[in-house]
Amino acid sequence: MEIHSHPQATMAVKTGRYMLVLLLIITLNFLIPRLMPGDPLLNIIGEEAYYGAGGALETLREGLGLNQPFVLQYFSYLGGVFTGDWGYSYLYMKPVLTAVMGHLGWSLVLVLPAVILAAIAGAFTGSIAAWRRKTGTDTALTGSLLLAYSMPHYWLAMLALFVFAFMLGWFPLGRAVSGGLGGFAYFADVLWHMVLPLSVLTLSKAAYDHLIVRSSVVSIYGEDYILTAQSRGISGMAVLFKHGLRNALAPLVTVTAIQFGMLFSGALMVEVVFSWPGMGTLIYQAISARDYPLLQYAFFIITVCVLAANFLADLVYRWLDPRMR
Amino acid sequence: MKNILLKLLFVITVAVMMSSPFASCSPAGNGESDIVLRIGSTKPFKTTNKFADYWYGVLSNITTHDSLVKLDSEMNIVPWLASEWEISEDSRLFTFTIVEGAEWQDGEPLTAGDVAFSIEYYRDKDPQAGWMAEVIQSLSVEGNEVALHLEKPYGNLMTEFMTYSIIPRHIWQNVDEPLKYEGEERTIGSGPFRLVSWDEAAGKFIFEANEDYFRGKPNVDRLEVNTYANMDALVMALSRGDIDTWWDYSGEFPITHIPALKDAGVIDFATATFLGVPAALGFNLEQQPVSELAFRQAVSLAVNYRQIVDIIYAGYGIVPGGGFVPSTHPNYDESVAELEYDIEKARHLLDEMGIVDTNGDSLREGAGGRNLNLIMLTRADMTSLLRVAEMVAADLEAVGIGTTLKAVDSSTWVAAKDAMEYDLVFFRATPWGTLMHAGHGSGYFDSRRTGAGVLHNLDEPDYLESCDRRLETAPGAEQAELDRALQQMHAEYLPAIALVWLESVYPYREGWDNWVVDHIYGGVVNSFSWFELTRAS
Repeated sequence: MEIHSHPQATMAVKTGRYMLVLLLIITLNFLIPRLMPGDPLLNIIGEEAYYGAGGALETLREGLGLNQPFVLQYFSYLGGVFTGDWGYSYLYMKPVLTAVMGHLGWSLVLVLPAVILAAIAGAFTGSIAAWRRKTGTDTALTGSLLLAYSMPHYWLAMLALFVFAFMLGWFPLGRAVSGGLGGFAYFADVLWHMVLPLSVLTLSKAAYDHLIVRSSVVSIYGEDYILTAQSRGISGMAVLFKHGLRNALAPLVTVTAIQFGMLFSGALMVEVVFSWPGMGTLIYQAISARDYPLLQYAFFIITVCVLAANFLADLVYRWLDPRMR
Repeated sequence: MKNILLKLLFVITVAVMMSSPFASCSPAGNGESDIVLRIGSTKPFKTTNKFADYWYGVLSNITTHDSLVKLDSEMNIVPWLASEWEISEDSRLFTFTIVEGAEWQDGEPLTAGDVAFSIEYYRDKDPQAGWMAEVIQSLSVEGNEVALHLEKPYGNLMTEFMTYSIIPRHIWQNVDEPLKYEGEERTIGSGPFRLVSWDEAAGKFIFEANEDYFRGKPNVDRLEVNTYANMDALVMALSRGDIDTWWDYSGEFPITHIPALKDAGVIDFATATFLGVPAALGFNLEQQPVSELAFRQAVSLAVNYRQIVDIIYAGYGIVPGGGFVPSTHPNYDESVAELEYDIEKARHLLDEMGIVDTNGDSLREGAGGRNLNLIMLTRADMTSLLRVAEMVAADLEAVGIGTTLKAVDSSTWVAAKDAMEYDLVFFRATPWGTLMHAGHGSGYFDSRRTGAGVLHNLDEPDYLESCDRRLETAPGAEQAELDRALQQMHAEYLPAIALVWLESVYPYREGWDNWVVDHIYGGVVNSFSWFELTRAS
């Protein structure tokens, strides 16, 4: 007997599954920082004071809610997820939400365009390389992008900093702005600071996207519908972009969804090289300082991004491939 | 699509053309003749609350705020907000006379009442000043004098007060939680500079000279502190001229970057013997066989110190002595011998202890006939220390001692160190760290001490007694004698060994003269340089 599931029922099941995964991951986000060795108070008041503080230490622990039973801390954290009361960062000495938002904005400014530009560039060069496979164009494109892909991000970033900022002096040696500017000058200044880190991130991600798309387009190259389109006299480029690429896009959608998920943490090394005040830096510092509230909510944001990106990918699949509907 | 790309290209081109001049021009002061000093740092500043941000707290101590006294480049305690002081014969009464004419940057006068308030505020609100509650019995103010009555004599009081800056009572008296205080006036001090702005995204502080400073206006009109997330970018900025010098509290400039700066041809260097110990090896005295003095002696003989100096520190250092701290320290004991590298002696000592290789695999066996495998704990985030640890591991293997290197992050290092989960531990003794407790590194070894990266591993009664006596002794001949005794006991008991004594290098751009080196506050960037520094004509 053939069972036909209703599309809305399928979406409901998927949504439920996503919610379950979300609950599981946010629980892990709570547990993992607390399983690491080291007491967060040590980083707040310094080791010298930590051992000499005596009763003051307990007062501080109480003030930060760290003396509460584990289960209470967990439910307080869960409550915070829904109410938006994310607590206080020991490291930044400001509300977690304020600390996170300050860095989240800079991450979005940098990584969002990088992922989009990389997907567009990778789709374009990957298709061209596949279409002209085993020609000089393919060799040049794939060879050079493979080289870029094989270079560690931070090394590529350091190279770009050295050549374009230090040697040629075209760009600043880091940070997101020069400071003391407003209006259009501020906007232009941000763009100027973005050029190098954005280029490095785009190049690294585009190189991977290129390889995915190339491989995908090559695999559909001999399909009947491609041959049919060609036999109808449609030009090569039209066949490639109208028929070939659309059907080969599914793997790129998956990769892009994963890259969106890594939006806030994956650019750490590039952030460090360019002194960019993004989420990667924030998370790294929070881990070093065992800043539980900051860590658990920073991880929460990443979790939401990963799940949202995957959910979005599911929807895009359905749009791209009628068989999925 | 093509149009969109062209528009995007246009916007980026315009942006680059519009904004490039902002970076390429020299940062201007308020006037053309202003002297602007641009400093680079890799410290992770987060807020301008000196109580909440350790690094800003240190920076504020040399810019916006003042302490009662300071340590000059000869390690002498010199007057600052306290114009003079008197210590009673029993070392239990310290009377400070507060300088005339000092005022807060909001125009209020700085009084002895502010000083007494500050000490009480630190005592009551700052967990790092917990020692004050134990030591200071009471405070009294009379005219421009503040008297501190101590529970017991405390020989390190003057050095301690070098690091606590005086804060304005009229601002802080109503602040119960200094860590969370966000009022704008929190940055007001009495120091030679006032904070103008802090731009977190730009990573930049701007300070301007305090025209009304009680010691006169500093020679620098405007101070900019630019932060970088990595040392490579900072060195490029220094070579390119974006910054004039480098600052790191208690830090040593990474030796690996010196050749690049020399090649730039526009960088000069100030040098001074580093007050701390950049790489040291500590022993777990509760763990066999490390707890045996002969074994520790064998380890100290097996280390090739010259090789560490030459390879890791590029020759910028010397082979250390057994007293742990270098000659920069007051009352340095020259009679304590330099540490010796002698593999044969090391082997002989191990043989005598019965720690021998019986199965011919070139590693010695310990208890139970198993190969010796010492746990070496180090920090992964300190690359020089990690390289040193790898070299020491090779040296120990050469005499038949097997090791396992555990490189961990700082929090894990502290947890493992305090749980004594190591045989050998690599650490770095900061300049301030070597001065704390009874001085000369004793704060790291006294078993009754805890915290601040200390090993608290030595409990020999004569050592503890010497520490106590040194703490209770005021500066003078008796204190000097005890200082030397502590160094001798470090060489005798070997709770740890220094692996190098560093010749610190402080780079700065050509065109600046008369820098003063401060061993505590980070090389050439310090309270003394502000009044000596000149722009070359």
